[in-house]
Amino acid sequence: MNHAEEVIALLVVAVRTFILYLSAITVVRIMGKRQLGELQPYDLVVAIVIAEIVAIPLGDTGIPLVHGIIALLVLLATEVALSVLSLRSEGLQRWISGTPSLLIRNGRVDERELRRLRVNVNDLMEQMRGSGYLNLSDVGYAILETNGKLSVIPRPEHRQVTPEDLGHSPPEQQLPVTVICDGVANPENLGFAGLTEGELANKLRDLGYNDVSKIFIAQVDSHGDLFVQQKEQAK
Amino acid sequence: MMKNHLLLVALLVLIIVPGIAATRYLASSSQALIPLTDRAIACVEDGDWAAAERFAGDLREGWDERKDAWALLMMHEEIHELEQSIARIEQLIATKDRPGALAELQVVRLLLGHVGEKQRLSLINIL
Repeated sequence: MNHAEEVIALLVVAVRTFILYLSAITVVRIMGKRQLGELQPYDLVVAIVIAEIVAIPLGDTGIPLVHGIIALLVLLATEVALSVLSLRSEGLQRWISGTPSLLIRNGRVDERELRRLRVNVNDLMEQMRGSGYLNLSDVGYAILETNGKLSVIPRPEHRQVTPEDLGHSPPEQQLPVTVICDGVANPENLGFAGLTEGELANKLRDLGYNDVSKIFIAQVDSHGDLFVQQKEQAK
Repeated sequence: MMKNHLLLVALLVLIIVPGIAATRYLASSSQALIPLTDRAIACVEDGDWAAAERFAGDLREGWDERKDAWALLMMHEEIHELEQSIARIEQLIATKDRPGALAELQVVRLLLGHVGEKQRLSLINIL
């Protein structure tokens, strides 16, 4: 193989990698945000299988690219079909994802449930510590969710104090909105913040900023105040 | 919800229609080459090397027309096997090697038969 042929062979791998990467990204995007967060059992299977489907034709140029792409499409169709059917049938949803399990009930650990799920007390304590609870006596209920995460509900005397407990009614908070990012104003976010570009310019001028392009980030915070940080080179 | 149903229908169409089309194309285009090997085998058996060479040339022509499209759908190793076998047939017929030519023509016939067979939705292929 001469030098030019070697370069072309490498380009074949590069182009195949690019196509498979785009295909996998498209499939994961269509599958939705669920795939990116806490994984349900069948989401985990899909994630593992996608990795395999992409890796095999990527490493072996003798396998037609279309085999990998068809497999990805079949996986996507199966995932969409199962999601749609799960929405309609609670039985199917339970069969695919399982059901949450109550591991601590009224402050008492359910030993039988722990044994059934093959979870030992150390695992339970570890997950509780991860949720910020060190003492079993602080916990009212603990639920092992279908994604493997432990949800802990503390006893009433150990739960956090809320403004309502103190008889306060705090003012409504606004959603913080980034109105300028890397020197560019975002008209859509300005709309969310209830500002026009002119009003933003006036506010910036009041704070001593005359050039939007020199601002790294500007955010209307939850109190409606403007937070501004200049770009480093502009200082 | 409607969007999910449409997506599902679109995906099924995208998988099934090209799948059926590809299977049919591979089956019909590979079957079209098999009679050429049969005729070449008959000519070699009769010792008619000129006719055998003509059919081998037709086989090469048919193969060259199809191989790029087949490479999109088949394992590239199988494409190389067919390519090598057809090249061997041409050489064996040119050198009037009767046993070698007959053996290699049978190999190509078998490989071509497998092309359509391997794409079929059958229990053997699934398992």
